[in-house]
Amino acid sequence: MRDTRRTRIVLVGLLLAGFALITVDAHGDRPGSPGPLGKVRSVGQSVLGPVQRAAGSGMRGIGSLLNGWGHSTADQQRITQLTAQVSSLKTQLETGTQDRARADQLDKLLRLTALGGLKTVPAQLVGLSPAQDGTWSATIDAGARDGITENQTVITGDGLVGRTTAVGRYTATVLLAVDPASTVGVRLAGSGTIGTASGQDPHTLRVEFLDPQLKVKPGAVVVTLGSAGDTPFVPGVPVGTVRQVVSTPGALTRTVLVTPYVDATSVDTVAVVVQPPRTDPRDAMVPGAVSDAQSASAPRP
Amino acid sequence: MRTLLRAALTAAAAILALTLESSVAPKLHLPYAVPDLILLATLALAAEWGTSGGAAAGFMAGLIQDLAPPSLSAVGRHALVLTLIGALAGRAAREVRRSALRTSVLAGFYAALALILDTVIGLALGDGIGLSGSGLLLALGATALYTAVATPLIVPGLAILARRADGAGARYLAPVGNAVEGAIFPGPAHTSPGLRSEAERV
Repeated sequence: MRDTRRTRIVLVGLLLAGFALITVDAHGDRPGSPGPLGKVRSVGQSVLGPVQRAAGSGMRGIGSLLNGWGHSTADQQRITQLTAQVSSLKTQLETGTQDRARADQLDKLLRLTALGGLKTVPAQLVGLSPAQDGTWSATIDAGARDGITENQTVITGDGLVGRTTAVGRYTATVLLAVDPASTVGVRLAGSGTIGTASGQDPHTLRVEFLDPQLKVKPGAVVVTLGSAGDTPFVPGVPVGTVRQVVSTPGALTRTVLVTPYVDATSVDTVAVVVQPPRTDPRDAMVPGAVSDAQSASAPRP
Repeated sequence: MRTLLRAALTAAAAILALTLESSVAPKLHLPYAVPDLILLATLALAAEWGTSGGAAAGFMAGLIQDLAPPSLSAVGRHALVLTLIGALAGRAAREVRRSALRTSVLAGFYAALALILDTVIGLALGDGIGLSGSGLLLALGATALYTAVATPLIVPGLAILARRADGAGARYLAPVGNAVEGAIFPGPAHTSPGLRSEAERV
């Protein structure tokens, strides 16, 4: 009888402790904003991050061993080269002739502004949150030591990945754009109609454009609008292409489903924008920002 | 001393399970879910340590999961879920006889239960459900299946370690899985003090 009572006390005590922690730390505003227990979390990040880094590099070693089976290093390099080529050709194709002409015109100018100001830090993705939790966040193997702070844009050569949230010394946590709680200000490339994108499922973004009369065709490109002060999102990064226009009669917004350029669940190498482009975010609204996006997302030599 | 050893083993097991779950399991590209390895670690420890020991191990493992990257949910969320699961598993340890299959099925059941609890807490916190209705059902089935399949890889070995942590003279509740060698002594002297009262009550 005494043991059962002790068990009950232990159980109730632990449950109360759990409730207390959640109550203290829960913050309904937006995910990733440091709660009162942010300090504790960053300690956890600093202690447990290196473990994941080590595991990540171990996995890469095994992966390259398996991939390299039957392939020489030259083959590997050729594959990487061709993949990059296909990726860049795809981007060129999707942004269209008109935009490309515009891109050529503004290329010189943009090189001085956007491209000149954008500085990125490369990182590897070493951890991914469990898919069944319904939240999409990832660990990258770069942290405060590499100049990463909270609320910086994370991109790949193809487009937007998400933004950094909790940052430890050696690792950082990225809230992916496909997370249901993530909200990204976006713009329809070319037309300049603005809207917000939030995650629907791992391969779909739900974008609500603020123009209910907007005529948009599948295949149209959506880019980031850019946040005030360029945090958390820098302007002009490609987000994805419109897959489907949702019929919502009478609604004040035009809802479309967007296929992201980046499959965040299988991404490997990412770049964190540690210094935003030197353009005024408001200027990103002018036509030609697609080329801005192209240059912003182009892999750095 | 025993508490210290238990805490150390729980922390080591949770960190290892977490690393496997977040760094290795996603590379397998399993659809809809990944195996809930931290839950499996909790189950193995709880099966040896009883209700209160299981609850404490679950609390600690959950807290580590909450604090480690890439988790962004409120601290305490997984801790609460795993405390309940650990207590339940510790209570049901007697049900887990020397059948690996039954252990696996139970683990799958607990994984689904943990996901449901997590969803309920998410709703209560106002975070909403990240998954759609059908997505949640698929995730439930997938996590139950993967966790059940992963059970023989994690539980028996960890259960042996959990028993070692209690010292040579420690009593244990029930062996977990076929891979665990060790005779079952049916006498009351070899059931844990935590469960004896229940046995007597029945």
